[in-house]
Amino acid sequence: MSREAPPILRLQDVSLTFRTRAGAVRALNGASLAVHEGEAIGLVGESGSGKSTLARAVLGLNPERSSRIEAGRILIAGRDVTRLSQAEWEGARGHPVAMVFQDPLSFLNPIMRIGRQIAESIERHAPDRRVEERVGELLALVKLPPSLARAYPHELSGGMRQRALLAVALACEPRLLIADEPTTALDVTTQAEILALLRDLREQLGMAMLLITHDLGIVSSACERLYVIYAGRVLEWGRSQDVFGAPAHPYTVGLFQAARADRDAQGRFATIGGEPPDLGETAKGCPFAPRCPSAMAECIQSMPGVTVVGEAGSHAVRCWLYPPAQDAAATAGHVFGS
Amino acid sequence: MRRFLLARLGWAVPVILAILIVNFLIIHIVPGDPIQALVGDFPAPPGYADQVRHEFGLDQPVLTQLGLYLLNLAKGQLGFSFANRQPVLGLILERAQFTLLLMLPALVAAALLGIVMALAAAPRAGSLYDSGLTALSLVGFSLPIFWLGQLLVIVFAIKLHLLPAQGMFSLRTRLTGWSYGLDVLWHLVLPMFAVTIYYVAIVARVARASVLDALSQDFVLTAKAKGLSSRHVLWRHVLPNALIPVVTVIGYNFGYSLTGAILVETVFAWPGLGNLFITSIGNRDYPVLQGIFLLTALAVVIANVATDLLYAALDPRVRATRFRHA
Repeated sequence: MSREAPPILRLQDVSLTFRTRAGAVRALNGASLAVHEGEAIGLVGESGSGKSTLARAVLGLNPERSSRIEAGRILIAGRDVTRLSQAEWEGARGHPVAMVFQDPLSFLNPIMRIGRQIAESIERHAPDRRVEERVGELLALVKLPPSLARAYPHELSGGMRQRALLAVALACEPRLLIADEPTTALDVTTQAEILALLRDLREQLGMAMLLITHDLGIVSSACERLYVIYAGRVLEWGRSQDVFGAPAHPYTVGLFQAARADRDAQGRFATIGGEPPDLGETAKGCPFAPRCPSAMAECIQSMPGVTVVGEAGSHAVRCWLYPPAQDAAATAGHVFGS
Repeated sequence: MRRFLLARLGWAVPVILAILIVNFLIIHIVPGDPIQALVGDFPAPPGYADQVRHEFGLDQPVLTQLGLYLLNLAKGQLGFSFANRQPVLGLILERAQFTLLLMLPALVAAALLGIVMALAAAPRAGSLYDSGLTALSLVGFSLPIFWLGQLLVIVFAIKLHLLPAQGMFSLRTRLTGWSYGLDVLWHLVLPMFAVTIYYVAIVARVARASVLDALSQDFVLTAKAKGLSSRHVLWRHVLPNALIPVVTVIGYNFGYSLTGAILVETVFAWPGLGNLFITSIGNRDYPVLQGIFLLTALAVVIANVATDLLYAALDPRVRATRFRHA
């Protein structure tokens, strides 16, 4: 993996707010991450943590009139796309970054044939290719029979629809595929099939992947590195094996306990107490502090800097439980992988 | 698609049968002597009463009468209009042409205009243009069409002398060929304008709401994420999905367009079916009224069938499921 080339995707301290009737909501609060060519990255968080907002921000898909990137930068293959207008975005989506969404039925046009929906991507991004032939190739790539080109979405099963949606994204010939909860709407067997397919495709096409999920099991099997996001802030990140081996942030620890179905002293399932915070409040401190079993006085007052944990320097956390590093900025840069 | 078509047409048959029976019963509900009612306010010629009694078999049991009625219908005999001194069928068809000449272009224009206006407004929901369109369509929808018609006559015909106030052709000259066509067009402008305004308002309101709804659907995000232009997304993804409710409204109005023009035809003295309807009520010309009822009911049924077929053409899910459980 070459570290000279700019990462295919990089977010630097991105803050994004939504304007709502009830006031401004800060969906992303200084979120940073980097995805390098060919890498598989997991972005983990519970509902409302801002992970889908982050994914959509990368393609300029958040509603133009009600959302705004207040601070930070988004770079795609080194190109700053933070302030693109909608017209400029039209020329920038699909390649090099394409996206598949959560619910494959509602995200496919119900009255357009599958083949046509794939062909639109081809015509947009590879106009010199013979479209029909290429549609067949792409269907084969996602292991669907060529006859499905003439089918409508409602005629397909959930797993087939997710494959079709994947073919639509792959037709853009992306170098990075963002998969926003691609298996959440599917049953367990189909989930495994789709994940295996994603892994094969990534190897076959040498494409990077940003996998957004609330399911830690998926991340452990599919991703090399992961970021844990909470209330629009990235709280912990690192190589999957390091984070899984020794989760540092109390939130991550709680997630793992919940995922492993640990029991507490009374024999009840371990859960993270409390509710995700109301993003309308602009809290100064760590957003997890109100729910954190180890919260201290400083947690409420300010957000801690970045601390590298573990030996390899490939695992970092933002938490007052870990003494801040001397040169936080440099360390952060190292860990983000620039 | 062929099965869908047959199923849909199959459903129309009992409806049409019911219409025929109700229409047949109307003449029995009419108060007074049916013979006099059939003839209207005209002195019945000697022997005509017997002829009618024989033709319609009014002395026979009701079911036999119904059979005779259907038989006559099948032969195209809807009776004779004494007020107009011609057979009802020919009279109605002639007037229906004039109504269609007025209503069809107006409805088509309204449908296209309304959809285009909605497509321009919905993506900018809340903007000045969008609010303006919503307000205007509310006004257009609420304006009484006869009032608007009279206003148009006052302004464009009486004050400005730009357009004719009434009728379908100039009475003082006998025109033929192209000049005849142009003369009719000339007379068509104002009534068609009045009708179009009303229907544009209706279509634009519905279309705006359904375009707005389609714009918020998830598949629009997929289309955008592919890198398609917003124009492409709007025309190829949003519009086809938004059309279904719009087609309902347009189809519904097509069905009623034959008589829906009563007010406009009265204001502009347009010699269409609506006009004939009003005069026939005045003349108590029951055969004509009966014929108009029948034609209108059939038009509504046909428009509904056509609307359903359009649904099926627009939405593959309708083709697949609509009549599976019916």
